[in-house]
Amino acid sequence: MRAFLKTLIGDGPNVAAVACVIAIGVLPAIAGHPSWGAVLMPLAALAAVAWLARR
Amino acid sequence: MDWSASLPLFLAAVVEWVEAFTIVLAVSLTIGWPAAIGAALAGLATLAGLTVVSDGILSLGLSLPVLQFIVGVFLLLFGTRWLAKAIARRAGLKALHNEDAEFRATRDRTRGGDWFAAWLIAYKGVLLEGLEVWLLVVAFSLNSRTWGTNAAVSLAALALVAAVGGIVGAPLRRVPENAIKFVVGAMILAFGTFWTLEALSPDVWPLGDWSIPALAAFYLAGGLVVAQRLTRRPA
Repeated sequence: MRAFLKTLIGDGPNVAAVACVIAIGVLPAIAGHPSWGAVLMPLAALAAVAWLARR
Repeated sequence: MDWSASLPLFLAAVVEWVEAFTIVLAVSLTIGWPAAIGAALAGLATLAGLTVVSDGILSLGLSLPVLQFIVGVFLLLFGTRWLAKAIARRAGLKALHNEDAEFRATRDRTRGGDWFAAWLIAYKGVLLEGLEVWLLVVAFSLNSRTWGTNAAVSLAALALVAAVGGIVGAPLRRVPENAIKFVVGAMILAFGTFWTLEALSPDVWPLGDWSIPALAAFYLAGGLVVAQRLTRRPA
């Protein structure tokens, strides 16, 4: 079951990184500037990938 | 056929089936080809069952934004993992996947053990490697409802690997696994970013659907820069 879940969603840091990426996509919409999400979310995703690669 | 989804699906499936083939090949040395193929078919049957069940569950009338969000999150999880792993390997922070080493390790694990334990290793190997293929088939089919096409694409990749593996009769070590993971990781991450944000803020992408190739190019270029910066230089 553990291997099954890890294959589906990855490990804890992977889930945490993606949660941060989604939050960064959502926050501009809450603040009334949804178009910023289209710039900030890809940057956040790349930063998350870089962080995960360094671990 | 939607090539923008079929291409990453096919390439990802090739990588996963190559890894599954290595495990089945190693196990076949202990329990013979018929039993090893039986275990592989049992793993594939489980995956086929999962696909049918997931199609049924997801046909229950969920709204498009909910489906897009579910797809997007799974693709984000998958894409970040694959791209990060490919970058770490390219930068030398992580060893490249070695089919020969995987073959030897599995062969040594099953040698002299009992028949059913070896059979289970082949079954579990096909199931876990195939699980990522299943995930992509589900994710790419949710929005477009192209279950048949996407399942056929993943099976075409399986047929290719099985045919080449059957001819070679050895681990398929020449498949450029890391390069494929790099490109596919960037493409999947692009789909994940696009659909997640589209679900949360409709029509937010300035280029519409063309934002997906633009995002993929951004992640590819960005990934190369990150790999370059992380590469350990000799002291």
